[in-house]
Amino acid sequence: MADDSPTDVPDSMTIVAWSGDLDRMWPTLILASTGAAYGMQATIFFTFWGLYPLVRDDVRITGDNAMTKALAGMNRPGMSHMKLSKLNMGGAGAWMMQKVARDKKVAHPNELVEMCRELGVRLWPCEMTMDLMGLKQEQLIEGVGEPVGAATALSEMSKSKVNLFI
Amino acid sequence: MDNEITVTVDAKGQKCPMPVLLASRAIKGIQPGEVMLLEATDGGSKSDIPSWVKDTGNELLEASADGGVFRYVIRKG
Repeated sequence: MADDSPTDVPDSMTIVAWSGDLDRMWPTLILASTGAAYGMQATIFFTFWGLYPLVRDDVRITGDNAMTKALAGMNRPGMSHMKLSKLNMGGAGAWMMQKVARDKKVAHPNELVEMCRELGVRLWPCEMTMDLMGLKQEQLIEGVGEPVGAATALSEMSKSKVNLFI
Repeated sequence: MDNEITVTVDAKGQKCPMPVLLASRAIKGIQPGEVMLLEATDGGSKSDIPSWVKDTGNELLEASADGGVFRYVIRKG
């Protein structure tokens, strides 16, 4: 056996994914999947705009009233429809970023979320935001856990050595 | 020293963090003491792989570069 053996209990990490922007969700998924590869229990708590990328790409409109439907109409949910936080240029910027990434073989968020599921990253949607935005569990991608509240997220964060708000 | 390779991971052409993710996935499939060969072209793997190997309790037996391909021979701990 190696003499510099690691600790038996893996550390854990928690990321609060508050933004649905491509350039924030991308590093969120990279760090969470890498954390899991490191043997950490990684958890992502998706809240506010961060929940939209979890909506299945084929779900066009979410929401349970005129206003929440309008929100989804103006800001299409889904991992394949994320915008850049700056220089989005009506989607051209996000398209270019993804094209460059594809050309340089950088894994797309869709691929990374798949790796996250495979490596055991917990994907926790915020219960209150789901309610606020009228999102239903069946509209979310496979592998997303049951909705949880702020206290559950905070309890996990208090156990985690790495906590990020992205 | 000749190490029999149990599994080979081809991460050539893939960028960070994929080499680490693919390595992590593959090492779950082998037994402690068995050896994995990881091939990558991502320059980030030069720091990432040794760090990941150490922190996850595995052992880096060999790291070499050949024509832009980095080869890592890793024994599962």
